Amino acid sequence: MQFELPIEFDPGDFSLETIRESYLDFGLVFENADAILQAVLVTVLLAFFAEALGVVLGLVFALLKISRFRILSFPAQLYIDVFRGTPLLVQIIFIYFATPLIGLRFESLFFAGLTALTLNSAAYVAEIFRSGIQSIDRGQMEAGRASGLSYGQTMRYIVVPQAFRRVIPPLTNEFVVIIKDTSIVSVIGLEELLRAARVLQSATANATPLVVAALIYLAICLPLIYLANGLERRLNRRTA
Amino acid sequence: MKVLRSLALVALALVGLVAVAACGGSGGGGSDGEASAEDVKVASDIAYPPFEYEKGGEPVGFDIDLMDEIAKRANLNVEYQNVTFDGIIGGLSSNLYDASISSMTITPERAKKIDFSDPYFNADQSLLVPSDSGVGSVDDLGDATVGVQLGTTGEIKAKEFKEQGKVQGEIRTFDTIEDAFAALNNGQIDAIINDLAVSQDEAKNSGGDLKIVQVIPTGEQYGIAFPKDSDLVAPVNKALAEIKEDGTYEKIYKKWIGRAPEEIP
Repeated sequence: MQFELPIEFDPGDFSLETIRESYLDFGLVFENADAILQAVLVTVLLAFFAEALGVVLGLVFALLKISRFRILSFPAQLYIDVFRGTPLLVQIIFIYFATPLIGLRFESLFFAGLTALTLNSAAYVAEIFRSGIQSIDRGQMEAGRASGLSYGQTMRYIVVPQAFRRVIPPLTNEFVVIIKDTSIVSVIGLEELLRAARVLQSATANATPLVVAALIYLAICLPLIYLANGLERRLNRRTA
Repeated sequence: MKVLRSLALVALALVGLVAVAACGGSGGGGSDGEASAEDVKVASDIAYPPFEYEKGGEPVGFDIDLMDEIAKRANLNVEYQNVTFDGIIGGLSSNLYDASISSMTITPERAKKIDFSDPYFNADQSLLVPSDSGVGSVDDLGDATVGVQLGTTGEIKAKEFKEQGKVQGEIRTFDTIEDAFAALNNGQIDAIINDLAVSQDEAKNSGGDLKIVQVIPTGEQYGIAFPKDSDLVAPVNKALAEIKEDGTYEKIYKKWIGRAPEEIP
Protein backbone atom coordinates (compact mmCIF):
# COMPACT_ATOMS: atom_id res chain seq x y z
CA MET A 1 0.00 0.00 0.00
CA GLN A 2 1.39 3.39 -1.01
CA PHE A 3 0.30 6.38 0.96
CA GLU A 4 2.24 9.55 1.48
CA LEU A 5 1.29 12.46 3.66
CA PRO A 6 1.66 15.72 1.77
CA ILE A 7 4.37 16.75 4.18
CA GLU A 8 8.06 16.20 3.96
CA PHE A 9 10.59 15.98 6.71
CA ASP A 10 14.25 16.53 6.04
CA PRO A 11 16.20 15.15 9.01
CA GLY A 12 19.33 16.84 7.68
CA ASP A 13 17.82 20.25 8.49
CA PHE A 14 16.62 19.27 11.93
CA SER A 15 19.06 19.81 14.74
CA LEU A 16 19.46 21.88 17.88
CA GLU A 17 21.86 23.99 15.89
CA THR A 18 19.37 24.88 13.11
CA ILE A 19 16.65 25.55 15.67
CA ARG A 20 18.94 27.89 17.55
CA GLU A 21 20.12 29.65 14.40
CA SER A 22 16.70 30.11 12.80
CA TYR A 23 14.43 30.62 15.81
CA LEU A 24 16.56 31.86 18.67
CA ASP A 25 19.00 34.35 17.19
CA PHE A 26 17.93 37.02 19.67
CA GLY A 27 20.91 39.29 18.94
CA LEU A 28 19.42 39.91 15.52
CA VAL A 29 16.19 41.21 17.04
CA PHE A 30 18.10 43.16 19.66
CA GLU A 31 19.85 45.15 16.94
CA ASN A 32 16.43 46.23 15.72
CA ALA A 33 14.81 46.62 19.13
CA ASP A 34 13.67 50.17 18.33
CA ALA A 35 11.40 49.09 15.50
CA ILE A 36 9.95 46.22 17.54
CA LEU A 37 9.33 48.35 20.64
CA GLN A 38 7.62 51.02 18.60
CA ALA A 39 5.46 48.34 17.02
CA VAL A 40 4.52 46.98 20.46
CA LEU A 41 3.35 50.46 21.39
CA VAL A 42 1.22 50.63 18.24
CA THR A 43 -0.32 47.23 19.04
CA VAL A 44 -1.11 48.12 22.65
CA LEU A 45 -2.54 51.57 21.84
CA LEU A 46 -4.62 50.13 19.02
CA ALA A 47 -6.07 47.42 21.27
CA PHE A 48 -6.65 49.81 24.17
CA PHE A 49 -8.57 52.40 22.18
CA ALA A 50 -10.51 49.76 20.25
CA GLU A 51 -11.62 48.18 23.54
CA ALA A 52 -12.51 51.53 25.14
CA LEU A 53 -14.52 52.75 22.14
CA GLY A 54 -15.95 49.27 21.59
CA VAL A 55 -17.31 49.22 25.16
CA VAL A 56 -19.10 52.55 24.71
CA LEU A 57 -20.52 51.62 21.32
CA GLY A 58 -21.29 48.06 22.43
CA LEU A 59 -23.31 49.25 25.43
CA VAL A 60 -25.39 51.46 23.15
CA PHE A 61 -26.08 48.56 20.78
CA ALA A 62 -26.92 46.25 23.71
CA LEU A 63 -29.51 48.71 25.09
CA LEU A 64 -30.97 49.18 21.62
CA LYS A 65 -31.14 45.45 21.04
CA ILE A 66 -33.12 44.68 24.20
CA SER A 67 -35.55 47.51 23.50
CA ARG A 68 -39.22 46.60 23.06
CA PHE A 69 -39.40 48.86 20.02
CA ARG A 70 -38.47 47.04 16.82
CA ILE A 71 -37.43 50.28 15.21
CA LEU A 72 -34.59 50.39 17.77
CA SER A 73 -33.85 46.71 18.21
CA PHE A 74 -33.83 45.74 14.53
CA PRO A 75 -30.95 47.98 13.36
CA ALA A 76 -28.91 46.95 16.40
CA GLN A 77 -29.56 43.28 15.67
CA LEU A 78 -28.60 43.78 12.02
CA TYR A 79 -25.38 45.54 12.97
CA ILE A 80 -24.39 42.82 15.44
CA ASP A 81 -25.19 40.06 12.93
CA VAL A 82 -23.19 41.65 10.13
CA PHE A 83 -20.08 42.30 12.21
CA ARG A 84 -20.15 38.96 14.02
CA GLY A 85 -21.01 37.03 10.88
CA THR A 86 -18.21 38.29 8.64
CA PRO A 87 -14.46 37.80 9.06
CA LEU A 88 -12.57 40.70 10.61
CA LEU A 89 -10.04 40.40 7.77
CA VAL A 90 -12.79 41.16 5.25
CA GLN A 91 -13.95 44.14 7.33
CA ILE A 92 -10.44 45.60 7.53
CA ILE A 93 -9.68 45.21 3.84
CA PHE A 94 -13.07 46.68 2.99
CA ILE A 95 -12.66 49.67 5.28
CA TYR A 96 -9.21 50.53 3.97
CA PHE A 97 -9.20 49.51 0.32
CA ALA A 98 -12.87 49.68 -0.71
CA THR A 99 -14.31 52.79 0.94
CA PRO A 100 -12.17 55.21 -1.13
CA LEU A 101 -14.17 54.10 -4.17
CA ILE A 102 -17.16 55.95 -2.72
CA GLY A 103 -15.14 58.93 -1.57
CA LEU A 104 -14.34 57.95 2.03
CA ARG A 105 -10.60 57.76 2.46
CA PHE A 106 -8.64 56.79 5.53
CA GLU A 107 -5.38 58.72 5.41
CA SER A 108 -4.05 57.16 8.58
CA LEU A 109 -3.48 53.42 8.75
CA PHE A 110 -3.80 53.53 12.51
CA PHE A 111 -7.19 55.18 12.31
CA ALA A 112 -8.38 52.73 9.63
CA GLY A 113 -7.32 49.80 11.80
CA LEU A 114 -8.83 51.36 14.90
CA THR A 115 -12.14 51.90 13.10
CA ALA A 116 -12.31 48.30 11.94
CA LEU A 117 -11.37 46.86 15.34
CA THR A 118 -13.80 49.16 17.16
CA LEU A 119 -16.75 48.39 14.89
CA ASN A 120 -15.96 44.69 15.18
CA SER A 121 -15.50 44.59 18.93
CA ALA A 122 -18.62 46.72 19.48
CA ALA A 123 -20.69 43.85 18.05
CA TYR A 124 -19.13 41.31 20.44
CA VAL A 125 -19.27 43.70 23.41
CA ALA A 126 -22.95 44.34 22.67
CA GLU A 127 -23.66 40.62 23.08
CA ILE A 128 -21.63 40.56 26.30
CA PHE A 129 -23.63 43.47 27.73
CA ARG A 130 -26.94 42.05 26.54
CA SER A 131 -26.40 38.76 28.33
CA GLY A 132 -25.05 40.65 31.36
CA ILE A 133 -28.13 42.86 31.55
CA GLN A 134 -30.49 39.96 30.98
CA SER A 135 -28.78 37.97 33.72
CA ILE A 136 -29.87 40.56 36.29
CA ASP A 137 -32.96 39.33 38.07
CA ARG A 138 -36.17 40.67 36.51
CA GLY A 139 -37.28 41.60 40.02
CA GLN A 140 -34.72 44.43 40.01
CA MET A 141 -36.41 46.08 37.06
CA GLU A 142 -39.87 45.48 38.53
CA ALA A 143 -38.78 46.88 41.91
CA GLY A 144 -37.30 49.94 40.23
CA ARG A 145 -40.45 50.57 38.22
CA ALA A 146 -42.67 49.99 41.27
CA SER A 147 -40.73 52.57 43.25
CA GLY A 148 -41.55 55.16 40.64
CA LEU A 149 -38.42 55.15 38.47
CA SER A 150 -38.81 55.19 34.68
CA TYR A 151 -37.49 52.35 32.46
CA GLY A 152 -34.47 54.46 31.55
CA GLN A 153 -33.74 55.45 35.14
CA THR A 154 -34.03 51.87 36.38
CA MET A 155 -31.63 50.73 33.64
CA ARG A 156 -29.22 53.53 34.39
CA TYR A 157 -29.13 53.42 38.18
CA ILE A 158 -30.01 49.83 39.01
CA VAL A 159 -29.64 47.28 36.23
CA VAL A 160 -26.61 48.44 34.20
CA PRO A 161 -24.36 49.08 37.25
CA GLN A 162 -25.02 45.52 38.47
CA ALA A 163 -24.52 44.13 34.97
CA PHE A 164 -21.23 45.98 34.67
CA ARG A 165 -19.68 43.89 37.42
CA ARG A 166 -20.71 40.69 35.72
CA VAL A 167 -19.37 41.68 32.30
CA ILE A 168 -15.88 42.61 33.49
CA PRO A 169 -14.44 39.08 33.06
CA PRO A 170 -15.85 38.61 29.54
CA LEU A 171 -14.76 42.14 28.63
CA THR A 172 -11.24 41.27 29.77
CA ASN A 173 -11.35 38.22 27.53
CA GLU A 174 -12.56 40.42 24.68
CA PHE A 175 -9.54 42.66 25.28
CA VAL A 176 -7.28 39.63 24.83
CA VAL A 177 -9.07 38.83 21.57
CA ILE A 178 -8.59 42.41 20.35
CA ILE A 179 -4.87 42.36 21.18
CA LYS A 180 -4.48 39.24 19.06
CA ASP A 181 -6.74 40.64 16.33
CA THR A 182 -4.55 43.73 15.93
CA SER A 183 -2.19 41.43 14.03
CA ILE A 184 -4.84 41.14 11.31
CA VAL A 185 -4.55 44.90 10.74
CA SER A 186 -1.02 44.26 9.44
CA VAL A 187 -2.63 43.33 6.13
CA ILE A 188 -3.19 46.99 5.24
CA GLY A 189 0.45 47.81 6.01
CA LEU A 190 0.21 49.22 9.52
CA GLU A 191 3.51 48.56 11.23
CA GLU A 192 2.19 46.91 14.36
CA LEU A 193 3.98 44.02 16.04
CA LEU A 194 3.39 41.33 13.41
CA ARG A 195 4.34 43.48 10.43
CA ALA A 196 7.43 44.83 12.16
CA ALA A 197 8.42 41.22 12.81
CA ARG A 198 7.76 40.24 9.19
CA VAL A 199 9.73 43.20 7.84
CA LEU A 200 12.66 42.06 9.94
CA GLN A 201 12.08 38.41 9.04
CA SER A 202 12.13 39.11 5.32
CA ALA A 203 15.22 41.30 5.61
CA THR A 204 17.13 38.60 7.48
CA ALA A 205 15.49 35.35 6.25
CA ASN A 206 15.37 34.34 9.90
CA ALA A 207 12.33 33.36 11.95
CA THR A 208 13.52 34.77 15.28
CA PRO A 209 11.53 38.02 14.86
CA LEU A 210 8.35 35.94 14.60
CA VAL A 211 9.28 33.98 17.72
CA VAL A 212 9.91 37.22 19.58
CA ALA A 213 6.59 38.65 18.37
CA ALA A 214 4.80 35.52 19.62
CA LEU A 215 6.52 35.81 23.00
CA ILE A 216 5.51 39.46 23.30
CA TYR A 217 1.87 38.64 22.47
CA LEU A 218 2.03 35.94 25.15
CA ALA A 219 3.55 38.29 27.70
CA ILE A 220 0.71 40.75 27.18
CA CYS A 221 -2.15 38.27 26.86
CA LEU A 222 -1.40 35.63 29.49
CA PRO A 223 -1.64 37.93 32.55
CA LEU A 224 -4.94 39.24 31.21
CA ILE A 225 -6.26 35.71 30.66
CA TYR A 226 -5.40 34.76 34.24
CA LEU A 227 -6.85 38.03 35.51
CA ALA A 228 -10.13 37.28 33.72
CA ASN A 229 -10.19 33.76 35.17
CA GLY A 230 -9.57 35.11 38.68
CA LEU A 231 -12.29 37.74 38.36
CA GLU A 232 -14.71 35.15 37.11
CA ARG A 233 -14.00 32.83 40.04
CA ARG A 234 -14.50 35.66 42.53
CA LEU A 235 -17.74 36.65 40.89
CA ASN A 236 -19.03 33.08 40.92
CA ARG A 237 -18.20 32.70 44.60
CA ARG A 238 -20.09 35.87 45.45
CA THR A 239 -23.18 35.08 43.44
CA ALA A 240 -23.23 31.40 44.34
CA MET B 1 -22.12 -0.85 19.42
CA LYS B 2 -21.84 -1.30 15.69
CA VAL B 3 -21.06 2.37 15.28
CA LEU B 4 -18.43 2.16 17.97
CA ARG B 5 -16.80 -0.84 16.36
CA SER B 6 -16.63 0.77 12.93
CA LEU B 7 -15.24 3.93 14.48
CA ALA B 8 -12.54 1.88 16.15
CA LEU B 9 -11.76 0.22 12.83
CA VAL B 10 -11.46 3.58 11.09
CA ALA B 11 -9.19 4.83 13.84
CA LEU B 12 -7.03 1.72 13.55
CA ALA B 13 -6.84 2.12 9.78
CA LEU B 14 -5.80 5.75 10.19
CA VAL B 15 -3.07 4.85 12.65
CA GLY B 16 -1.84 2.23 10.18
CA LEU B 17 -1.83 4.71 7.33
CA VAL B 18 0.09 7.28 9.28
CA ALA B 19 2.62 4.66 10.34
CA VAL B 20 3.09 3.53 6.74
CA ALA B 21 3.34 7.13 5.61
CA ALA B 22 5.90 7.90 8.28
CA CYS B 23 8.05 4.98 7.16
CA GLY B 24 7.65 5.93 3.52
CA GLY B 25 8.52 9.53 4.32
CA SER B 26 11.69 8.86 6.24
CA GLY B 27 12.76 6.22 3.71
CA GLY B 28 12.38 8.71 0.88
CA GLY B 29 14.27 11.38 2.76
CA GLY B 30 17.12 9.04 3.63
CA SER B 31 17.95 7.80 0.16
CA ASP B 32 19.50 10.28 -2.18
CA GLY B 33 18.44 8.51 -5.37
CA GLU B 34 16.87 11.24 -7.51
CA ALA B 35 14.80 8.92 -9.65
CA SER B 36 12.13 11.41 -10.73
CA ALA B 37 13.60 14.90 -10.97
CA GLU B 38 10.81 15.96 -13.33
CA ASP B 39 8.31 17.37 -10.84
CA VAL B 40 9.38 20.79 -9.65
CA LYS B 41 7.44 23.08 -7.36
CA VAL B 42 8.02 26.65 -8.49
CA ALA B 43 7.04 29.44 -6.09
CA SER B 44 5.92 32.77 -7.46
CA ASP B 45 4.14 35.83 -6.13
CA ILE B 46 1.54 35.75 -8.90
CA ALA B 47 0.36 39.35 -8.56
CA TYR B 48 3.07 41.15 -10.46
CA PRO B 49 2.06 41.95 -14.02
CA PRO B 50 3.46 41.73 -16.62
CA PHE B 51 5.84 39.17 -15.12
CA GLU B 52 3.38 36.94 -13.34
CA TYR B 53 -0.34 37.35 -12.82
CA GLU B 54 -3.49 35.31 -13.09
CA LYS B 55 -5.72 35.24 -16.11
CA GLY B 56 -8.72 32.94 -16.10
CA GLY B 57 -7.34 31.12 -13.06
CA GLU B 58 -4.02 30.35 -14.77
CA PRO B 59 -0.67 32.05 -14.16
CA VAL B 60 0.56 34.01 -17.17
CA GLY B 61 3.31 36.54 -17.87
CA PHE B 62 6.92 36.95 -18.89
CA ASP B 63 8.30 34.78 -16.11
CA ILE B 64 5.72 32.06 -16.68
CA ASP B 65 6.40 31.85 -20.43
CA LEU B 66 10.13 31.78 -19.77
CA MET B 67 9.84 29.12 -17.07
CA ASP B 68 7.54 26.98 -19.23
CA GLU B 69 10.05 27.22 -22.08
CA ILE B 70 12.89 26.23 -19.75
CA ALA B 71 10.82 23.35 -18.39
CA LYS B 72 10.17 22.08 -21.91
CA ARG B 73 13.86 22.07 -22.75
CA ALA B 74 15.14 20.74 -19.43
CA ASN B 75 12.39 18.10 -19.23
CA LEU B 76 10.78 19.41 -16.04
CA ASN B 77 7.19 19.23 -14.95
CA VAL B 78 6.45 22.61 -13.35
CA GLU B 79 3.80 23.14 -10.74
CA TYR B 80 3.35 26.80 -9.74
CA GLN B 81 2.67 27.79 -6.15
CA ASN B 82 1.24 31.23 -5.53
CA VAL B 83 2.96 32.72 -2.46
CA THR B 84 3.75 36.14 -0.99
CA PHE B 85 7.10 37.50 -2.11
CA ASP B 86 8.59 37.93 1.35
CA GLY B 87 8.13 34.20 2.05
CA ILE B 88 10.02 32.91 -0.99
CA ILE B 89 13.58 32.98 0.31
CA GLY B 90 12.63 31.32 3.58
CA GLY B 91 10.56 28.74 1.68
CA LEU B 92 13.43 27.92 -0.66
CA SER B 93 16.00 27.58 2.10
CA SER B 94 13.69 25.22 3.97
CA ASN B 95 13.05 23.27 0.77
CA LEU B 96 9.34 24.02 0.62
CA TYR B 97 9.83 24.83 -3.07
CA ASP B 98 12.29 23.50 -5.64
CA ALA B 99 12.66 26.81 -7.44
CA SER B 100 11.17 30.27 -7.74
CA ILE B 101 10.64 32.59 -10.66
CA SER B 102 9.22 35.81 -9.30
CA SER B 103 11.05 38.83 -10.74
CA MET B 104 13.64 38.34 -8.04
CA THR B 105 16.72 40.52 -8.24
CA ILE B 106 20.03 38.75 -7.74
CA THR B 107 21.71 40.33 -4.72
CA PRO B 108 24.78 39.22 -2.75
CA GLU B 109 22.63 39.21 0.42
CA ARG B 110 20.10 36.83 -1.09
CA ALA B 111 22.83 34.74 -2.69
CA LYS B 112 24.04 33.85 0.79
CA LYS B 113 20.77 32.05 1.46
CA ILE B 114 19.82 30.70 -1.97
CA ASP B 115 21.28 29.95 -5.39
CA PHE B 116 20.47 31.91 -8.53
CA SER B 117 20.40 31.01 -12.21
CA ASP B 118 22.15 33.24 -14.70
CA PRO B 119 20.34 36.58 -14.99
CA TYR B 120 17.30 36.59 -17.26
CA PHE B 121 16.13 40.20 -17.10
CA ASN B 122 17.74 43.63 -16.82
CA ALA B 123 15.66 45.63 -14.38
CA ASP B 124 15.80 49.05 -12.82
CA GLN B 125 13.78 50.68 -10.08
CA SER B 126 11.39 53.52 -10.70
CA LEU B 127 9.40 56.23 -8.96
CA LEU B 128 5.68 56.08 -9.70
CA VAL B 129 3.46 59.02 -8.68
CA PRO B 130 0.03 60.46 -9.53
CA SER B 131 0.40 62.55 -12.70
CA ASP B 132 -0.82 65.71 -10.96
CA SER B 133 1.44 65.40 -7.89
CA GLY B 134 4.18 67.78 -9.01
CA VAL B 135 6.85 65.31 -7.89
CA GLY B 136 9.57 65.07 -10.52
CA SER B 137 12.15 62.91 -8.78
CA VAL B 138 13.09 61.30 -5.49
CA ASP B 139 14.51 64.65 -4.36
CA ASP B 140 11.02 66.19 -4.40
CA LEU B 141 9.52 63.58 -2.08
CA GLY B 142 10.11 65.45 1.18
CA ASP B 143 7.84 63.96 3.82
CA ALA B 144 5.64 62.12 1.32
CA THR B 145 4.54 58.58 2.19
CA VAL B 146 6.30 56.04 -0.02
CA GLY B 147 4.78 52.63 -0.71
CA VAL B 148 6.86 49.52 -1.39
CA GLN B 149 6.30 45.78 -1.48
CA LEU B 150 7.62 43.92 1.55
CA GLY B 151 10.94 42.18 0.91
CA THR B 152 11.64 43.72 -2.51
CA THR B 153 14.63 45.69 -3.78
CA GLY B 154 12.22 48.63 -3.96
CA GLU B 155 11.93 48.42 -0.16
CA ILE B 156 15.71 48.29 0.20
CA LYS B 157 16.12 51.28 -2.15
CA ALA B 158 13.46 53.29 -0.31
CA LYS B 159 15.22 52.66 3.01
CA GLU B 160 18.49 53.77 1.42
CA PHE B 161 16.83 57.04 0.35
CA LYS B 162 15.50 57.45 3.87
CA GLU B 163 18.97 57.02 5.35
CA GLN B 164 20.32 59.57 2.90
CA GLY B 165 17.59 61.97 3.97
CA LYS B 166 16.00 62.16 0.51
CA VAL B 167 12.86 60.51 1.86
CA GLN B 168 11.70 61.89 5.21
CA GLY B 169 8.19 60.46 5.24
CA GLU B 170 6.92 57.04 6.20
CA ILE B 171 7.85 53.98 4.14
CA ARG B 172 4.81 51.77 4.02
CA THR B 173 5.16 48.07 3.20
CA PHE B 174 2.45 46.10 1.41
CA ASP B 175 2.10 42.34 1.00
CA THR B 176 1.55 42.60 -2.75
CA ILE B 177 2.38 45.33 -5.24
CA GLU B 178 -1.30 45.32 -6.25
CA ASP B 179 -2.19 46.53 -2.73
CA ALA B 180 0.37 49.31 -3.06
CA PHE B 181 -1.04 50.35 -6.45
CA ALA B 182 -4.55 50.38 -4.97
CA ALA B 183 -3.40 52.63 -2.11
CA LEU B 184 -1.68 54.98 -4.59
CA ASN B 185 -4.81 55.13 -6.75
CA ASN B 186 -6.85 55.81 -3.61
CA GLY B 187 -4.53 58.67 -2.65
CA GLN B 188 -3.54 56.94 0.60
CA ILE B 189 0.15 57.03 -0.29
CA ASP B 190 2.06 59.54 -2.41
CA ALA B 191 4.54 57.45 -4.39
CA ILE B 192 5.77 53.93 -5.07
CA ILE B 193 9.32 52.74 -5.56
CA ASN B 194 9.25 49.50 -7.48
CA ASP B 195 10.60 47.54 -10.46
CA LEU B 196 10.43 49.67 -13.61
CA ALA B 197 8.68 47.27 -15.96
CA VAL B 198 5.91 46.52 -13.47
CA SER B 199 5.24 50.14 -12.55
CA GLN B 200 5.36 51.01 -16.24
CA ASP B 201 2.61 48.49 -16.88
CA GLU B 202 0.51 50.01 -14.07
CA ALA B 203 1.08 53.55 -15.40
CA LYS B 204 0.00 52.41 -18.86
CA ASN B 205 -3.18 50.85 -17.50
CA SER B 206 -4.04 53.87 -15.33
CA GLY B 207 -5.23 55.94 -18.28
CA GLY B 208 -2.89 58.81 -17.47
CA ASP B 209 -3.61 59.00 -13.73
CA LEU B 210 -0.18 57.67 -12.78
CA LYS B 211 3.21 58.20 -14.34
CA ILE B 212 6.84 57.18 -13.93
CA VAL B 213 8.80 60.34 -13.18
CA GLN B 214 12.18 58.80 -12.52
CA VAL B 215 14.05 55.69 -13.55
CA ILE B 216 16.38 54.73 -10.73
CA PRO B 217 19.21 52.87 -12.39
CA THR B 218 20.42 50.05 -10.22
CA GLY B 219 21.90 47.65 -12.76
CA GLU B 220 19.93 44.91 -11.07
CA GLN B 221 19.02 41.71 -12.82
CA TYR B 222 16.39 39.08 -12.17
CA GLY B 223 17.35 35.47 -11.63
CA ILE B 224 15.53 32.20 -11.05
CA ALA B 225 16.09 31.16 -7.45
CA PHE B 226 16.83 27.73 -5.99
CA PRO B 227 17.65 26.22 -2.63
CA LYS B 228 21.42 26.22 -1.97
CA ASP B 229 23.32 23.60 -4.02
CA SER B 230 20.26 22.60 -6.02
CA ASP B 231 20.81 20.14 -8.89
CA LEU B 232 18.43 22.21 -10.98
CA VAL B 233 20.75 25.20 -11.48
CA ALA B 234 22.89 23.62 -14.22
CA PRO B 235 20.09 22.27 -16.47
CA VAL B 236 18.08 25.49 -16.06
CA ASN B 237 21.10 27.63 -17.01
CA LYS B 238 21.71 25.46 -20.06
CA ALA B 239 18.10 25.84 -21.22
CA LEU B 240 18.16 29.58 -20.45
CA ALA B 241 21.29 30.06 -22.57
CA GLU B 242 19.64 28.29 -25.50
CA ILE B 243 16.53 30.43 -25.14
CA LYS B 244 18.59 33.64 -25.16
CA GLU B 245 20.51 32.47 -28.20
CA ASP B 246 17.84 31.16 -30.57
CA GLY B 247 15.54 34.21 -30.48
CA THR B 248 12.92 32.77 -28.13
CA TYR B 249 13.94 35.24 -25.41
CA GLU B 250 13.35 38.19 -27.70
CA LYS B 251 9.94 36.83 -28.67
CA ILE B 252 8.84 36.46 -25.03
CA TYR B 253 10.23 39.92 -24.21
CA LYS B 254 8.35 41.59 -27.05
CA LYS B 255 5.13 39.79 -26.12
CA TRP B 256 5.09 41.02 -22.51
CA ILE B 257 7.19 44.20 -22.40
CA GLY B 258 5.97 45.55 -25.70
CA ARG B 259 9.34 46.28 -27.29
CA ALA B 260 12.58 44.54 -28.14
CA PRO B 261 15.13 44.22 -25.34
CA GLU B 262 17.98 46.76 -25.55
CA GLU B 263 20.35 44.12 -24.38
CA ILE B 264 19.97 40.46 -23.56
CA PRO B 265 21.40 39.79 -20.08
